[in-house]
Amino acid sequence: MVATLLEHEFLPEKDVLSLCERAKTLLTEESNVHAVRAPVTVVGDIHGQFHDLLEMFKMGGYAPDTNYLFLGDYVDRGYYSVETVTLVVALKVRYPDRVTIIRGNHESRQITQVYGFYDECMRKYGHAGIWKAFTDLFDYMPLTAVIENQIFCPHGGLSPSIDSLEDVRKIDRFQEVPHEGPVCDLVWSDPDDRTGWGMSPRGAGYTFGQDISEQFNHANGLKMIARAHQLVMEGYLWHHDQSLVTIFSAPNYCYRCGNQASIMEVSDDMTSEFLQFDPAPRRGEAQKTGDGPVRCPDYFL
Amino acid sequence: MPPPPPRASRRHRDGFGVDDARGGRRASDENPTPIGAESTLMPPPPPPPRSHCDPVGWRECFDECHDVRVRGTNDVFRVYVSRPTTRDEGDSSDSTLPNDDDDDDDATVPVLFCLHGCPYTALSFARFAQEMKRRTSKRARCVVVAMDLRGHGATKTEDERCENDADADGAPGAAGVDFSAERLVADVVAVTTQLYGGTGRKVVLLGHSMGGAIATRAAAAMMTKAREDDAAREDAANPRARVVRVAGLVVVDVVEGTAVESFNRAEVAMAARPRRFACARTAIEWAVRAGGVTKNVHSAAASFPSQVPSDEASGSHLRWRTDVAKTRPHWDGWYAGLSKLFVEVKTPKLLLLAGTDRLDVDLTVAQMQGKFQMVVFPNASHATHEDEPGATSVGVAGFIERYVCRG
Repeated sequence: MVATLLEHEFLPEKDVLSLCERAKTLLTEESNVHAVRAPVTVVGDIHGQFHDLLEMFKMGGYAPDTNYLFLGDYVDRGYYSVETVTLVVALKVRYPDRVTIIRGNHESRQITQVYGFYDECMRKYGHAGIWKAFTDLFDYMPLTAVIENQIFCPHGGLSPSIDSLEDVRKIDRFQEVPHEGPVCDLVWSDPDDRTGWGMSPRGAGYTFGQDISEQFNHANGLKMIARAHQLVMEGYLWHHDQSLVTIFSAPNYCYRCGNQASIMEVSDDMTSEFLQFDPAPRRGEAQKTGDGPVRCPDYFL
Repeated sequence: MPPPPPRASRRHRDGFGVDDARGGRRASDENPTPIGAESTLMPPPPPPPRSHCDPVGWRECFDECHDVRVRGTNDVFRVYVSRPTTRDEGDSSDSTLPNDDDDDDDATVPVLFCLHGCPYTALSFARFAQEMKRRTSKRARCVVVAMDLRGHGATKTEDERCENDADADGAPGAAGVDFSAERLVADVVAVTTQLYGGTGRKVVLLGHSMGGAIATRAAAAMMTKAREDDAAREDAANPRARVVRVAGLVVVDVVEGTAVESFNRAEVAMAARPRRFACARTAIEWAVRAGGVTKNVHSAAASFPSQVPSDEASGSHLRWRTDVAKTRPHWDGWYAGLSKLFVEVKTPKLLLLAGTDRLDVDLTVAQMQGKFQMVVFPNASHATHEDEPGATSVGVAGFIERYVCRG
């Protein structure tokens, strides 16, 4: 199945549905703070940029030879959300001990109805069944991971209602991402230059300063926080005096932003190295396979 | 129904009812009472059975209508005001009580100041204002004010009078209405300062399309001016001359990149419109069916007649209030640098869009860096607030509650 998907072949509907069921069974057992062993390669937002994901595997190696931790935001915005999320979930099912997937803010019913995944499922499968299967599965994804008890990995960031990894473990995560509270914050929050907690300009989650990151790391015996969620032009960006790093893995995001992407390789000895990459050559297939016509307004006055 | 209570003695702690303006002539039933004269609240007309395409007057959607003359000028700007219901109004069975006379006047209630697109008018926000009043929770109460920009709606400015006189004489050379971004921004700063300067009111600027560009530029200008006012402290003797505090910025479906790309199509679309309409009903029908003004007939009925008022010369036809062709030289000036400015303005920001594909590079990057809030209405067309006034009001009320009331 993984080989088929890597060839960018489409899976029949019944195979996708059974894949989701198997993944659900697996993920139910995983903790809100899924323990991950080094070495592992950490991947940030992908957003349906399937060809760039394939490019990333070429560079970073294929599972199971390389272990992967995906930080969420598999779907929306790019034109191949279905292929992307199917491949990532198939990798999880095929190599459950070597691949970890956690939930991003786009792994949500509400967001995917606006930012493309729902429409893509309708276009490619003709009905909402596949979207429903995946969004049901999203409720089971772990909220965070921790690498060798040293690198804490949420999709977004910290939460004022969370002081410890134990607090995260106690959350009942099997639900749609709420509008506020710890689950919302973990997938929505961002680091900020200002100290303390701030209201996030996004309309969800918080901003948190260096003092918050350092305090959280210290209290939980962590070396650092690795998260995704924000576009950074070089593909990765250190914040808070290296107590936190952002990893973004969608090159030329939305086919327009001109940014590099990166992945973070964490070695056996817990040193981390970043591999940057540029967008995959598109070879014209984008036009063939359903880049929908861009809706243009009649006038803009 | 007993007569409504007189309102003449009421003085809001904003600029309404304080400044003298003689611009309001009673040309039609929809005209407001000139500020400074005895002002009485007209009883709302009983709702007659009507087809959806019959025009709807401003009174159905707003509470008040004022003509605001900017001090030291002959420019008179039309504004409509909708005040929040009192907290217990829902429980009150006695509708004759002057129940809006207390806490909505509180200077802590923020003002949402709305700027329309071109060639829309303030009444573009009629249904939205209604929904804001209906839906805003106690935590997100606000006064909704919508202003007719220069050359639009019922606003009457000196430059337009000169242009009309020149037209009547057949004389060339009148410069005409100044639709430049700088002029429109200066108008917004002048009117908001006159109404709310020095009151300490939090003002959220909201703009649709061209109005979104003006709102963004006005927010930037007002925040710069506020810093200068603070530094100079020279207005201490006249606090009302101080520019208002911008507490937020809401932009409805306009993005620099996509706007600039659409200029050619916009010119074609504008040129293809009918030049006149036989009656309001056909006009409203056109606006909804062929014109692409809004998909929502209830909005069109309240908003579109103000775009095509009856032609005073012929009296028999409805003609466009605003000649879009005359605004063409200013389109670049409205939108150039808008996305960068929007990102840079240091106030909470909400971008309401009719589709995610409308983001340009600057805004895609900024959105993905979490620099502003974005709400998308996939089923709406360009005039999101007219198409989906309810959903738009929920988004705006949430923003105000989060960033203005709580923040």
